[in-house]
Amino acid sequence: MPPSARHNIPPLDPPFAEEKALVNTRILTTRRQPGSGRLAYHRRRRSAWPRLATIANSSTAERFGLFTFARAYTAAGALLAVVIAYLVLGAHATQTAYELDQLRAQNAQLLAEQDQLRYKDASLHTRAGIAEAAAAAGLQHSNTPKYVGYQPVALDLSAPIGPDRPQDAPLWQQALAAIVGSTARDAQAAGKADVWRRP
Amino acid sequence: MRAIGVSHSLNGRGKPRSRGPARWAAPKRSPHGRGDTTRLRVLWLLAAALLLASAVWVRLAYWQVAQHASLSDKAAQYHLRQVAQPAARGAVYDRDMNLLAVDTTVYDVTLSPTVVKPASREKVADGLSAALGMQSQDVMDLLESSQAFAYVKKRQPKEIADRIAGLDLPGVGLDPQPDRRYLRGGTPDVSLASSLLGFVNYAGEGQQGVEQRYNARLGGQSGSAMVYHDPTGRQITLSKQKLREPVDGVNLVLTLDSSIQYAAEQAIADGVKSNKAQSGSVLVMDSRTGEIAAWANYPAYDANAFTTTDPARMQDPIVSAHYEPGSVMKVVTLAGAIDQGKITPSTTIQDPGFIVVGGSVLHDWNGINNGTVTMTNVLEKSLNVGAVRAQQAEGADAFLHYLDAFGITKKSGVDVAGEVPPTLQAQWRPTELATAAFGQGVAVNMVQMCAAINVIANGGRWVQPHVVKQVGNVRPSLPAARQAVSPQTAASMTQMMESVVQRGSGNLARVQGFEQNEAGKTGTSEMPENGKYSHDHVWASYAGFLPADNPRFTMLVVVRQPDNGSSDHNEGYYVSGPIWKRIAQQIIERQRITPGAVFPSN
Repeated sequence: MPPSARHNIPPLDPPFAEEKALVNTRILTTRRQPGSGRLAYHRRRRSAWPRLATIANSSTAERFGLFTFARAYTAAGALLAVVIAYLVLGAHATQTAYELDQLRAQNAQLLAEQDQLRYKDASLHTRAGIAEAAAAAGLQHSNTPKYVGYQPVALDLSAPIGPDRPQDAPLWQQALAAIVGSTARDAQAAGKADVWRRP
Repeated sequence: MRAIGVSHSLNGRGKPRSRGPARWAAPKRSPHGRGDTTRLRVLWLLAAALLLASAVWVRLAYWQVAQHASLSDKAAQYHLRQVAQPAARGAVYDRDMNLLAVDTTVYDVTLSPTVVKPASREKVADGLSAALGMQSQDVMDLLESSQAFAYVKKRQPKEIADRIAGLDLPGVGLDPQPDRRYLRGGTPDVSLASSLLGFVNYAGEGQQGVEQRYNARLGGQSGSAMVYHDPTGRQITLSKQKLREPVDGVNLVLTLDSSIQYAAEQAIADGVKSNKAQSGSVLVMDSRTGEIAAWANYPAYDANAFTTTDPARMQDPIVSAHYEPGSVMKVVTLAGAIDQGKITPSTTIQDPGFIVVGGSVLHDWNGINNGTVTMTNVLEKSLNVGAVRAQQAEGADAFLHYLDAFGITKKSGVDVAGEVPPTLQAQWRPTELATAAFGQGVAVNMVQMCAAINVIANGGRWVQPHVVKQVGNVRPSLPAARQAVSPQTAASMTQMMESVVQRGSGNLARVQGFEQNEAGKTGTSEMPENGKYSHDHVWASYAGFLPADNPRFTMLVVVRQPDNGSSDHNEGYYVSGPIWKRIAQQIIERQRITPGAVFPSN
């Protein structure tokens, strides 16, 4: 029984003129073997595209149908990209480090200048610096101070301090002061203070 | 049954099952014995291979495990370097925040001769010699040497370093170093308050004075970083580093007044020169607080040039040397006796000009019969007999108690490095005790004595003398003031010391405008030499405070070995009194001290 009959599959192609085909003996032998021939070819071709379940279980490479070399190239490419990225980052970091180094040197230079200026400034304001500048200007400091002559001041703390202050307040304030028992200004001030104290 | 029989008779391959050890027996020896030999060779080869492999593995384990640490370190040395991160040393200020000491940067000029190409040598030699003021040949000798690294000149100022950097010479480096700078003092070639401040050596360690005492706080803590370097030696900052951040030192604010300090340095220098003395010192203290406003010595030194300074000059005679206070000690003796109620200022004694104590005859300085004198007269005329009589009235125990109360028996505790303890007798003989009453045989330092006189100025209270007002933002805690004698005793003693200025030996220290309001006491003591006291070499001193009714400062002046030709002219009143007066006038101007109002006594 021919394989097509056994599997109940109708022939797909028109009758095949085997003798007309330019095939060699080995190919013919292969075709005649069980499991070979067009049916097997169809079966193999169908299986070249995996089913959904197979896709779900396969690796990414298999899903995209990559060849072994393609996978190797992809891996090598990815590795190369990583290496390049690392080198770029490294170069950038090194460059930044050099710039930082330069900035540090500049900072140290500026600090040194600042210290130098601080010392110069302090030196200028010392007594020695002032004396030197004064001497250069022809000035001379006397070491023997002279005091203004004075008479001993005799104070009597118990003596009256003088007449009362003249009353320059208006009459109504003076009258009010007489009533409340203090000066009008004090009364006014007291009144204001009361107002201010209210919340 | 048949199946069983078959299984027994056959081993599954149609051959009879072998029994016993025949299955594992050695193969039959070939007629020529080649099977055994081959096996033996294979075994030997295997053993040899294993041995070799083991040797390699053991060696690998040795290098990779046992020697891991040292090999890692060696490998790290090629690209890893420990870089010191020095901490900035704190500055020192006076009480008005004027700088006294500050760190600046100097540069070590370095050379890498192997880096300089022969064609560039002449250019480098000419450039460096011109900038550094060296002979060109000296630089050329360095360049032609096979050294990888050499110092051309160390500690060059920034101006020169900038000039060298501008030349852009190959193989020339500038290594920055901190350099402590101090301000100019009252005399040429001397830095201000050098004895008090001390200096910082090239290792960054404070030496002497405040720099040494507060070295840890001023210096901070230096840090370090392990950094990677590229082949040219440049630092790769972002590499993995072990960083220990430096902690900068704190600033120090002193109680010193640089204007008074300057005036004191000038006055003591002139005083020492005019009296042909060996040296002299001045200490000025705030009477109320114990803050030291001036600490001057002559001769002093330039702390900026400590490498070329005679080490003997670096010793501070104020705190690191003893002196015998002489008659200044009578203030302590009489104050103790008054405080004990044994005498009053008006207590009279008979003074024949000498007194015999413990078999020894002790004389007054004038050697005459002084007759009946009051205790005030004793102080005015500085009579030794009167001081001994007061001490005898007081008693030995009480005298020693007051020595302790006035701070004579122990270190003053001033916050400066190198204070010497006083040298006092463990067992006092009567004569020693008697001479101690007028300040002979008692060795103290100047800070102790100034603080003791300040007790009288401060209403009987002893206050801690100190020079540091602020460490960073913190005021250092000080021992509490203590009452040494009663305020009444202090007031009595003040009156007696005023009398010294007005009518006694302190007349040369009278300050114009304060004649009625100044307290003082002179002192002259013989120096011990070769086991006995010298008559020629003396300490001439003067201590006092002003204004007497409301003291603003207490000052002690000591001049060592004045040589004015006669013994009279070598005494404290003549030598130290005028120096005291000159400095006092400067302080009065500086602090705007006015004579107190004179009220009628009704």
